[in-house]
Amino acid sequence: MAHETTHETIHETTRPAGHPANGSDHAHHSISATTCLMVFAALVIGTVATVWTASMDLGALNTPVALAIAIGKATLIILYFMHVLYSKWLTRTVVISSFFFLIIMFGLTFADYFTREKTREIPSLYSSDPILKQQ
Amino acid sequence: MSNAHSPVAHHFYTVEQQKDSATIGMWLFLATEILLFGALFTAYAVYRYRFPDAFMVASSRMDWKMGGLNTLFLIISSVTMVFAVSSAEKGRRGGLLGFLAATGFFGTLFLVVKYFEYMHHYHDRDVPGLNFHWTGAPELANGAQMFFFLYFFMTGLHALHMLVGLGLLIWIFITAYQGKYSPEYYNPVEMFGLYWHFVDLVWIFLFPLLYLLGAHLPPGGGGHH
Amino acid sequence: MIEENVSLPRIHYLNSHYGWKSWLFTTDHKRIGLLYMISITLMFFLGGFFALLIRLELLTPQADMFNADTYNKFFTLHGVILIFFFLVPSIPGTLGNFLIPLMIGAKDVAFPKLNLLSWYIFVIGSLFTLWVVAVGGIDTGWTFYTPYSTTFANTHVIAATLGVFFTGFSSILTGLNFIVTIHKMRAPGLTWFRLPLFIWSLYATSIIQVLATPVLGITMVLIAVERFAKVGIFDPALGGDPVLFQHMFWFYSHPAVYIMILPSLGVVSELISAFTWKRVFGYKFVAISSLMIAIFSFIVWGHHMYVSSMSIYAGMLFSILSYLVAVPSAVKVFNWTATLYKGSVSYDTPMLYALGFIGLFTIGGLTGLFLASMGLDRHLHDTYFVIAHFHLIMVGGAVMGYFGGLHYWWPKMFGRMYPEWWGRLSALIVFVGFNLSFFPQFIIGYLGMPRRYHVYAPEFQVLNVMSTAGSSILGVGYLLPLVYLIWSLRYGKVAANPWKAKGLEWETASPPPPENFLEQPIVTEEAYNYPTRPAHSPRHAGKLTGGLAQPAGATGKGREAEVV
Ligand code: HEM
Ligand SMILES: [Cu+2]
Repeated sequence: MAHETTHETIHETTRPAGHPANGSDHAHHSISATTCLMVFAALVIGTVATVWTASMDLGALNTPVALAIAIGKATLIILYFMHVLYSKWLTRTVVISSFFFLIIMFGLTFADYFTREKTREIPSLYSSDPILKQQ
Repeated sequence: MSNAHSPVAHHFYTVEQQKDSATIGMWLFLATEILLFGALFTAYAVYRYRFPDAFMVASSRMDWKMGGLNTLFLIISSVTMVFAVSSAEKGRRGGLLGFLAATGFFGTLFLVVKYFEYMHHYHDRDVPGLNFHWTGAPELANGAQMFFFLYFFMTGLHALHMLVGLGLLIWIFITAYQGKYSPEYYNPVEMFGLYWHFVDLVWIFLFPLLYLLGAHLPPGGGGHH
Repeated sequence: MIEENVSLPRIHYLNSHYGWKSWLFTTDHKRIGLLYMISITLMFFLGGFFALLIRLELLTPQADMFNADTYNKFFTLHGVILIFFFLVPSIPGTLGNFLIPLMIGAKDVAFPKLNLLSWYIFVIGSLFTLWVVAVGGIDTGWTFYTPYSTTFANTHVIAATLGVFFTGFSSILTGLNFIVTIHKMRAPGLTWFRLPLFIWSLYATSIIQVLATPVLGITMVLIAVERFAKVGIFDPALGGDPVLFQHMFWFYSHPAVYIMILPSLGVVSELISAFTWKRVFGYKFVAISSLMIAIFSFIVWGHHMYVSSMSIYAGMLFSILSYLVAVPSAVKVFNWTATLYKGSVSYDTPMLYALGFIGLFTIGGLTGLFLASMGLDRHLHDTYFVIAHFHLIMVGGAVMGYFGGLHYWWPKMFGRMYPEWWGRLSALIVFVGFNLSFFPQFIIGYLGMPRRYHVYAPEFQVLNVMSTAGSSILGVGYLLPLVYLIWSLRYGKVAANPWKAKGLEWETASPPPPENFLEQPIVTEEAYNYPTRPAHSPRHAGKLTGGLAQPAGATGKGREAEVV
């Protein structure tokens, strides 16, 4: 490997492989003051909206609405304040996969809780089995 | 890059490689934090699903104004943190120090408010494991205690993160004061910023899920006291 | 193995600095790897000691040596120590730390200080556990099931959970470090599909470590808090749900079984390639299958809870998903087998472990599928069948992979060979002892003997005696390497690359210099660039002349001159 330098496919000689020489990603990292203040305004409005919608009785919709606003605010923070909008694909992958696995945790846990009652409705399960019957 | 302030550790080749590594490392750390808090949010969801009424009633014992105020404090501190990072990027030491101080100020305010909230709950005998005493409808007692346990555990863990954040902030402030950062090298400031925004992010979910569940109930709807 | 005529390099990472400080404050990934090796070896033999006590008690159906409480502590400590303090950190902590930078042509991992910190955190966790052992143990089982662990157990649960919390934290930091290292520190020209499969598998392991372990950490803290503050988060009497604990625990612990096995899968891929002198068949499939395993491992945890009052519909879902995870595992087994086909296989010690691994891992995985089908699990759950299933994978698989890797890279780490004859002998003893220990357990489990009891029905005695006999043999098989490996540090024959294996880690001196490579390696080809026709392999030539050990000189020499 290392000593077979006669091979013709050597392009980058000094940079590590994780680091292509075309350093195009030197891009500006921080956001402009105006953008920042606009995001700030949006976050404040979101907070007010959260309190306002929570004070109304929306029935089953209260929590989804609150969560939707919270997710919106969180997205703004992640994209702008935490620069994910301007970051490399790897950073984005990390962000997305952490939420992806979080959703798996929620989803499959609730696959159990949402269907527990349904299990009890299966007559054969609860009639023929002497142990379960006692419960 | 041979800047006196930009030491590239011996095992890296370029500043950029070092910086990228730090960024990804930090994000991976935040990913672990997302799953750490995520597990608690899952537990919250399960118990809320089991005890919808108790959670609503117990939540109405929260002071949403305090929670809302704290939300604002955290958002403001996030904004000042953004400005701190961009000051560092532009090499403005004065701006960096000023915005860091502002961030620390609002972070501290948050904790002060939190302290008063906790004291209040303590006097109201809302603290599971310490003095929990439920005077509302007895069938809601278990669910309410669960709510308050989750409230204290989740906001407590969050406050712990705030404390750690303030500690780090002092360290960043001192090093910034010593002039360790330059437009070529301000990694620690930026990484700290990510951490700080993350702590803000957690609160954005905690606030509606803990403080506002009972906000639409008529005053005293909890039938407590 | 091929005899070489080499001498040790003058300066290497072992002798470049002296004194205990140069070890305890080192940031050299190679030295940290050795620190891990020493600590997990201690934990391995401590956990193994408890295993022997368990097997001793099970020699007879009655309780003749220990009462139920003591026995419960033994199997708990056995599980806690060997899972959290040996298997989880084993290959990543030792071989991973040592080899990742070498295999990717870097000077160190991305965060060397963090690497040292993660060892210290591991030590703190171990001290908690050792303290628990010293002051009277814990009896909850390694699974810490609630509400027993939170409400009823009278043993040192809080200290034990904190120990697990710390070692989990250490595991997270290791994984984080590896991911960044593999992304950012690769040598020029080392593209993803030129990486050794060991790197791929550790990368997949690290993903699990980073994303699953925090959930375990917080779950352990919740148990400690519930015990300490007497709040009822998992206590049904106070409205808590013990099954929620199981969800959270297995959300980590099923992926965790892949933290334990994936690194071994990687080691075996390396061994198969090195000892057939061939490229691993279907390299890309084997590489990607590691990632697939990592991802699928997150969606199957419910198969541990079929009989824990989990909904039957969720059970069906988890059952189907569990079958999925077998697919990428099977991809690996088939590709290894295809690699062996027509290869010039040589049966040195590491290869013996690798071959043992393939068979036992396959059986272990297939019995996992039995258990993953709900109807069958109703019968087999909490019996010795489950015990046999996971020991086949974790001991027959993960530990054998670790031993195979340890022998294979031993000359790389210390520049000396272990005695090959003793190596093969103990590999054989391990294989025989292992099978005698655990195959009877499939049968007694199927016949209905439950796990975690110190007494049993007399008709199970014959099989239990076989199992205990097997474990004693297994114990000998593990003690032998301890002796001869230590012996070889001083008296072993000097070696540099006795396998004539390919791969960046073999391109530098053995033991490597402190900075790994004297000059930055540049990679122009993939990891397993063996000559396509086996006839060109020096080992093949050796085989034709009738011996594995070839006379010194003939083929082995030219290269050392180039490398050092
Ligand atoms: C094809 C892949 C696999 C499947 C489908 C599978 C399936 C299962 C199932 C269904 C159980 C629960 C049995 C019961 O308690 O009734 C189980 C237990 C277990 N498996 Fe596997 N398994 C697989 C691979 C593995 C691997 C690779 C490991 C370890 C490296 C492992 C380690 C364990 C352990 C430790 C337990 C017992 C946990 C306990 O209750 O103490 N499994 N497996
Ligand atoms: Cu499993």
